[in-house]
Amino acid sequence: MPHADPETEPRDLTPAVRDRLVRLAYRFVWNRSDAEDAVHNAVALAQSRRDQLREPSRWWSWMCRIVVRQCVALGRGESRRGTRERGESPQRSVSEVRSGSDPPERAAESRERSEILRQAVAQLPPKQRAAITLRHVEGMEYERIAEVLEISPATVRGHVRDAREALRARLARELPEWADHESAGVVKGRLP
Amino acid sequence: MKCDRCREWIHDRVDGRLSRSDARLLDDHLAHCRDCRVFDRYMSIVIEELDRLRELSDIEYGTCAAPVPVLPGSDRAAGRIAGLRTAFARLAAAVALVVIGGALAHRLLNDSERPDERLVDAPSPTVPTGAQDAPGAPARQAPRIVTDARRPTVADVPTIVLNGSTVDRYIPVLRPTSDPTVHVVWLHAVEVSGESTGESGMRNGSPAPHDRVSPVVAETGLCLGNVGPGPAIAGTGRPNHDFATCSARDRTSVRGRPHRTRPSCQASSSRKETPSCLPFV
Repeated sequence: MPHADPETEPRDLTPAVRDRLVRLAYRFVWNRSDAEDAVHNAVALAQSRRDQLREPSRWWSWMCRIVVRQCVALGRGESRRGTRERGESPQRSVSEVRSGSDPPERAAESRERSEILRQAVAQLPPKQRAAITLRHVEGMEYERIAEVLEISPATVRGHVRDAREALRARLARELPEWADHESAGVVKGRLP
Repeated sequence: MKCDRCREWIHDRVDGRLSRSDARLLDDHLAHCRDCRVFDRYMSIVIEELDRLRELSDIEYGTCAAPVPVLPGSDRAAGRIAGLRTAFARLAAAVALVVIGGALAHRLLNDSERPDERLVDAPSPTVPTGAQDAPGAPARQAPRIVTDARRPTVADVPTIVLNGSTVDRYIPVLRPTSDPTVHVVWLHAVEVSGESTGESGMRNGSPAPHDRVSPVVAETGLCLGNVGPGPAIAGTGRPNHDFATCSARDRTSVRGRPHRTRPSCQASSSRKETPSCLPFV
């Protein structure tokens, strides 16, 4: 049956769907070829385990789950090896995207904390990494994340909070000077 | 307010689940508790950097960012940035529409003026025995040759009609031919008029998948890895080569190289038992 949400429409392997899956994988592995590998493996798994999809209307969540597992497994393998064998150039700093007009000192600080955070995300436990990435990087709602990860929304919230705590603690440890940095520009003005 | 409660509320505020009255209490607490203020500051940095990760991944991925939902609890600056993202995405979408429309119009114009220019004699693709004229086979269109050496896409595939219904869900698979630079794209019907055809893209009792698809012969430089046969076709016991999948190792080792550089990819009828195939979309 057609679904109002195009994400749940099981248009198997159309270019648009595949692109969305690769983009999702990219948010985990930050490497185009690794992302395509993960999606390729996920597609192969999905084809061989199609009977495990009980509800066709949840095809998208099911595919996302397989892709996320492939990405997390890929990350574990790389962490065991200790180094990444990337064929691509090193990733740009997150802050390079938006700090081009910032003063050099501010841009350097921003780059530093961005790199710390990205490394910290990569080192989170798999479930926390998946939950925080799907929530804050992919922008999924908690209910959808729960569907993807096959856990309850409350558990997802727990994983996301634990991940935020871990990232906050890592930043506080690595950048203690920011405790008194009133001009961080990210605290004031937040509205509930 | 206790600090533990305050930190719970900070998380709730990030998630947009904190009421205004509780937010005022939280702000009061933060005003006189330095530890919680530091906690809030680092948490805010974490959220901001995670938002940047999303922005960066969109940029690095090579596509413009789709409209990004603003997480409740984001600051006003983030809201303005999200608005800019949305405007940029709309502009990019408009440009993309113009480009795609122009390309389609150009293609249609060329096709109408020179209908046979892109249709050339196809090298004989490796078509499984008995695949041509089985009863119940769909209406076939002539194999189409894509001669511009680009990677074939679903757009190159003609409409597939089976028993009067258009096949609207399918799994395209590349298969080699005797010419190493030419591949046949087999489309495996997965759903016809809303009816799922099962795990392997087959309907029970239907002919072999080749009887139900239209071939597209595509010239491509893609190199395909060696693979074994796929899962058996439901109800027949025969291996379904077209659903065989390349192992990651094979695919990684050959990815990006010209097809001619890999002798094992020299497709021929002798390789029918271990065809190279790869879902290409």
